[in-house]
Amino acid sequence: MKETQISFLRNIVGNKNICTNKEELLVYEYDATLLKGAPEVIVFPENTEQVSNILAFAYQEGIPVNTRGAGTNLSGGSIPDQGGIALVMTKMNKVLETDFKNGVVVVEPGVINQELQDYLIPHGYYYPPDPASMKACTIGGNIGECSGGPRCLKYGVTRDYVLGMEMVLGTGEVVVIGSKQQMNPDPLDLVKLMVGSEGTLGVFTKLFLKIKKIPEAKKTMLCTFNSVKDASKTVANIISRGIVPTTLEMMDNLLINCAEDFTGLGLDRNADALLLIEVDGFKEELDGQVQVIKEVCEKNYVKEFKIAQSAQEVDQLWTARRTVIGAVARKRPSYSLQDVTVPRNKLPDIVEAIVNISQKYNLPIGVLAHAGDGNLHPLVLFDERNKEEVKKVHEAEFNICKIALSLGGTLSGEHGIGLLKKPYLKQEFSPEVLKLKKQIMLAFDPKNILNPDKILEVGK
Amino acid sequence: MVNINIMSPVDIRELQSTIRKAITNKQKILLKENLELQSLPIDAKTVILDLSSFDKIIELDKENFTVTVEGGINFLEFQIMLAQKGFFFPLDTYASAKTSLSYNVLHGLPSYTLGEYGNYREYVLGLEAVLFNGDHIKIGGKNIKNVSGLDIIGLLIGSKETLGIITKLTLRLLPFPEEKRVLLFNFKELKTALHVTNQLINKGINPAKLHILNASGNSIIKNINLSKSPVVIAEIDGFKASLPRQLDVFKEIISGHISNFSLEITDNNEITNFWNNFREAQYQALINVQNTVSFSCIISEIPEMVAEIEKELVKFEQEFIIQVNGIVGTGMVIPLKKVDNEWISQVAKLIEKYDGKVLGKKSFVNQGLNTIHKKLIDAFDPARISFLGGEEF
Repeated sequence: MKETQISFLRNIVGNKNICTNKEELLVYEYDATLLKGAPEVIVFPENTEQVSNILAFAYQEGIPVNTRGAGTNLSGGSIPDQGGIALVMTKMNKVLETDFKNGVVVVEPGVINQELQDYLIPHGYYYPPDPASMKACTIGGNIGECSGGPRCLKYGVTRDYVLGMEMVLGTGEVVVIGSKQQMNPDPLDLVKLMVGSEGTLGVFTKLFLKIKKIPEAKKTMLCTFNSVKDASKTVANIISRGIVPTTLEMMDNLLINCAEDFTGLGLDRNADALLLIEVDGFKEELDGQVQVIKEVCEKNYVKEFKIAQSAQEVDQLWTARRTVIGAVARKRPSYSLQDVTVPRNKLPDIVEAIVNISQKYNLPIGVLAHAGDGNLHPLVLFDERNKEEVKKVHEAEFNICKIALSLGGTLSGEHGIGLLKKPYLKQEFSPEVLKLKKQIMLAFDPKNILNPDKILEVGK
Repeated sequence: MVNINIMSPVDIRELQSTIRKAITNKQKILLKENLELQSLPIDAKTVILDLSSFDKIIELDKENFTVTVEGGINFLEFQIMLAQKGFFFPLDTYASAKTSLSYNVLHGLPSYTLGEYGNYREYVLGLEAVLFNGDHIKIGGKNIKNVSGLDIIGLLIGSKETLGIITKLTLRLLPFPEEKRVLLFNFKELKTALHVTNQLINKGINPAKLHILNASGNSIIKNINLSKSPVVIAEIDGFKASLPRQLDVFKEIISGHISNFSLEITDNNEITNFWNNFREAQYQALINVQNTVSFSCIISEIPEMVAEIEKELVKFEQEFIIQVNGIVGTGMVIPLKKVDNEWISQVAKLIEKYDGKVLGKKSFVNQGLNTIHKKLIDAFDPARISFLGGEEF
């Protein structure tokens, strides 16, 4: 970018909200993947007008704009691989309106997911999407990726909680789609299209979110199994017995041991699989559900079935689940977290295939799964400094994706396509669908400046 | 009397061929169900699509709780079939008995259960469609979560036949709730009924269905001797263990406000019959006039909005039904006899006064969004063969 272009941006956001020196730019080269790409300038807009002015200028000059929240992205979507502007939304972080009467909260995109929960909980409400990175990730990023989380099994994904938004189009025009209403009556539901669009269609500046009352009670169970297959069958059987748990999370032996190393909770290091199950609702109905779940577990040869007896115990179990991704760092210097989804009954098949891939490439791969959704996060452990190993990681991950697709699955359940999975997209979609996706992207962003060529290659 | 040009393709190839011919011949395409539900300026050239040959259940996957089904199947018959096999597909609309699954999904017809059970996007996991550019596309599958690129499924749902025709769907199913009850209460005033339903939701009671009808709305409740005053109909479902307390809280909140009638239906067959009658009566009321106004509005604004509609429409000396889904704030104003445009625009004006939206009416006015809208249509329907999406209409 030219100095005159940077000066123009400086005039829009002020000196305190722009960075151009090398050390600062380095920080924004990354997200939570192994990919890198440096922006030429970082800007931190503080309001919609600034975002609008930045985009209008970028559109006029043809400068790439990579919109970013906390940078916890797991598909390379936040990597400014074409240079240009890193548009960091973290200073637009206010809760603008809470409307409990209508079950709606209006927020800016830089609000952190956990901070929103902390704000709502004292009022008896919560926002159901709960990605593992919720302590750091922003709502804007969650919407860009259509984030999920453990609670999705019962409560759905981010898409189901976005009622509308104010956003800035690639041209700089500010528009509002949807509203605080629970139903969007527009003939084409652009709100749904925006969710999961990975920053390629527009920049969110205000979000209308649906919130829910906190259920009055919950019960958390920890079950261990001698085989992943038994644990997987348990998952399918629980739902067919008429119970949709709030969460149904699975960890394999490698990750049980990582979690135990980190937390020292006394998890069974010899178990092949662990299920963390939670049900919620009215207090009278929970004992019956727990009893049914226990019966199903016993039928599938559960090794140990334990009900958390206190809120502290529940917190400990969830700490083990939420920290396990970080805990694997003790095993190897680097890890890569995959994200594929298969139909629920194909869980044992894909887990078996992952074990085979792990052996073939001599790479430790742990399996963490939102098992009720069939959404797996294979964690490949390796050493980034070993180039041969990195090559094997890419091959192993490509094979996991191919197997997921062959089992009727999809490339991504909640992390998006970004840069990481772009090369595999043609394995999932026909040329007609890919052409359509490209046409949709060009309809919103004819100059391809918004997170350019993420999801798929659009070109100029 | 216009000759109606009905085409009944039996497979994708025939449907594609019909669409391609329409592109070549510059004909408009419309689903058959519209003929009854809307008054439309069709001509002999208009291709009326009858999807009734697309009526097969492809796969009921008991392990994954999904069903793959062709879109032309009658919506209610499909639900009955699922229920007989122990599966629950919770969406249910006034047109379920008369229209295809595809019609309901393409038009995003508001479900009676909207709220507690959500909307179509939460249940449609995959679909096949023939677009109005002639392409046959397949997206999604049996996966509950899927974020592989842009959400074309979400774009097709509720697109009102402007992009293409859905031919096959894979849907997420639920286990049946253990028990349910239907409760009916007469109220003295419509506004009070609406306020009370807000209190219910604030107490954490989430009925599966919650309808509020004005006094004239009683005419669509058959075989129950109600007094002519506003009525609330609620269906509460859930686990046996917690249902009694939910019902107690419900009755306690509502007891201080009801006029002189209440009824609790406990038998499942009677509940089914009640909704069959209700659905049929509402559908008949709609097709009798073909110019209903459907709306959505912020829930807290609805009591005032509805009160003003009731007051202001008196001058037309025209009886009408107001029906509101109290959980999500959607509803309809249905005249009991044909009305003129002045009546329709007066209702729309009152809805918009309370920031409500008239369903099907494009709400955005920005130049940028209009350009995007046009480009999206260019991608899906370059020859503008959609009857409902056409400039003329």
